[in-house]
Amino acid sequence: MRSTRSGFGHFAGWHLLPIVAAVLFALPLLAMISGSLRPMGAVPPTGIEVLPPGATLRAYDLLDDLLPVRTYLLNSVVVAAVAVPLSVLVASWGGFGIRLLGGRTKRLVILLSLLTMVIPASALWATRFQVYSTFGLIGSVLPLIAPALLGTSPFLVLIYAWAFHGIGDSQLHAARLEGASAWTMWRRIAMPQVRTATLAVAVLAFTFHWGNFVDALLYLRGQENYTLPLGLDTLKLLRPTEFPLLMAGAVVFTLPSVAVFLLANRLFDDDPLQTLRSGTT
Amino acid sequence: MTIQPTRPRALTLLLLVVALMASACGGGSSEDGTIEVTLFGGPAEIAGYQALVDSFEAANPDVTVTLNPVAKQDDLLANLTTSFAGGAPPDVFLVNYLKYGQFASQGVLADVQPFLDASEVISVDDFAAPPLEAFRFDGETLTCMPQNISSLEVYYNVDAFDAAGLAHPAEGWTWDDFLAAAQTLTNPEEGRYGVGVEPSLQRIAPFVWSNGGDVVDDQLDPTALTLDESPAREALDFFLDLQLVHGVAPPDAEEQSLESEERFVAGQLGMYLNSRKSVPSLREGISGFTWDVGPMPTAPGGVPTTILHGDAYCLAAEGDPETAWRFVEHAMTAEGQEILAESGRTVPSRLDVANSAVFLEPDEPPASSRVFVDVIPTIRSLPHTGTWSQMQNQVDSVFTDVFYGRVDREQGIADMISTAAAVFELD
Repeated sequence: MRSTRSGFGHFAGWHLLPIVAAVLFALPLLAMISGSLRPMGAVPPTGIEVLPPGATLRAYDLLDDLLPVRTYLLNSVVVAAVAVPLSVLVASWGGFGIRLLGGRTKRLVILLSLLTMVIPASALWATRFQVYSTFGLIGSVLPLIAPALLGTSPFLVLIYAWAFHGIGDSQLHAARLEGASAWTMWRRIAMPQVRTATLAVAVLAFTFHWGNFVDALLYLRGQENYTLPLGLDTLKLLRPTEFPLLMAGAVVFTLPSVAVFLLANRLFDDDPLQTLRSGTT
Repeated sequence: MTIQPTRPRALTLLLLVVALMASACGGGSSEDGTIEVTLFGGPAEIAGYQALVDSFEAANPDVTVTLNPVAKQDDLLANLTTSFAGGAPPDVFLVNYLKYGQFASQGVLADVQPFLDASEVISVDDFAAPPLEAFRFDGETLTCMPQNISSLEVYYNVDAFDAAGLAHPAEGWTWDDFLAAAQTLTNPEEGRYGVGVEPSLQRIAPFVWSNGGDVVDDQLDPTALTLDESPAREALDFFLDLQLVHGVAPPDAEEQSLESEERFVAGQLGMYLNSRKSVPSLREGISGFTWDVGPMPTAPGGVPTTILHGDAYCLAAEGDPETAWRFVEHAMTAEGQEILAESGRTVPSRLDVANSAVFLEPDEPPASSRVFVDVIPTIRSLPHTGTWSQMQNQVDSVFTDVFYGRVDREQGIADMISTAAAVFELD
């Protein structure tokens, strides 16, 4: 839906506000990066500084000695690299399945999905532990990937179900008359029409798996299997004079997210904002 | 956004699978010479534990240790409760004496008493008495093996004391001396305060005991907090008055903008009450002045008393207690305890190591590290029942409100007592 306003209103809505918002969100990132460059042992700053006096990369070297950060990073990357595509695949299958269901059944399934979303996560910890333990998965990163087999979240499934609703019944009927299987319809007709949803689901799945602290805390054993959120939690115990280390850890943790977001933009569309504004194409 | 990673039909399937397995599933721990050790600590402590594990593995080539460090004790408890509930607990875990009760009361721990009795390497006489007592869950059998014996003491800014002509905190100093020193060192306009202390049951308790009062009605089976009864109430009022009447402790907003430990490091706090665990950060942070540690002040006409801060190694009954004990035994030898004492954070539970230069470190501040050893006969502990830490969390939150004047004193104390009574009911 294009704005029909003109003049200042148009300018404020399309440029000024986004710029203000962008600056607001960029500031903590900049503070984090500049904080990570501070020399160790210096008194923490009271205001904002762009480049700290005596800026150094020493915190990154020390970080490497303090914790096996490279191992943690590698494990996090493995989890995200497997779990995100898997989530997209399973969530889209689930969503497409819901799309194909008829009236009452569909409403019931959507209602059930919504219900499962309100189950507190902590209610699942022990049962899941038992399941993983039975299959001998406790300790490895597999329990962190396993939720992707269920689409990571009913929310992601519902995003797809909602997106697939933009596809007309006539299109699906026609395809079925041509002898297309559900698999073909999903691949040839449905998925190409919901790229925005795929982008959204991929980004949401990534943020979940990348920042998954609780599952890592409960199911991982041995530092060689640890992921970044556990490392960051340990760094939080550092003393204020060692905060450059915490900030360096935060940079290592955050930069991949930023990279994924920028990459996702390029992968899916040359002008993703435009796509989001105009809805699914 | 919270994400619940399940889909309806899959959930039904999952529940079915779980139901089937719950009946068939036994313990998850291995008996192939691999043990899991779960403990908490910052990066430097974890490095110490890793060194301990390395030295154990070098001496016991048939055993492999998987070390699972987590950062905070809350993280540890989340991990432990889940793995115990899921039937695959770690073979050994390190836990505070106020928190092991929730496991001991469920009967999921293997007592260390028979192992210690049979040991040819260590003997009960090697260790300080107070933590042993705290880790006897039923009052007789040793449940977990105490690793350290820290206690609440008073860190003080020696230069500030000298400049004001105050006598240093020393054995036999009283509440009056303590308050007078705090008042002399307080100057709110300059952001200086006399004493920093966390408002919690753990901090009030030594004041209460020193004054001849008690925190609970029954140490082994508490059913009520007795803080409203004199002389406990006098001690409680003395503690609250530090903030509410005398203003010698940083008020709410000041504490939130600069926590007491950092304020002490910055030279803006005369005295800071904490256990041994503050030593590494004080050593690291303080460069501009001399600091030391002294004993807790004694109530007028009362007895010198302080409170235990100690952790112990517990063995899971469902794990491999025999192999796990070999690790604990190694950690409890002089060699094992010296590795951890190097961090400066713990007071070793072995008396020979606590009395050695490895712990006392005559060249490093605080010069009076010996205080931690000297006070051992005066150390008491809070109860360690199954619901204790839950009760303490809830009561501390009310007490914090009272201490910072957010709620009325009488109302707050009544709330603390009724809150505690409700939790004790659950036991």
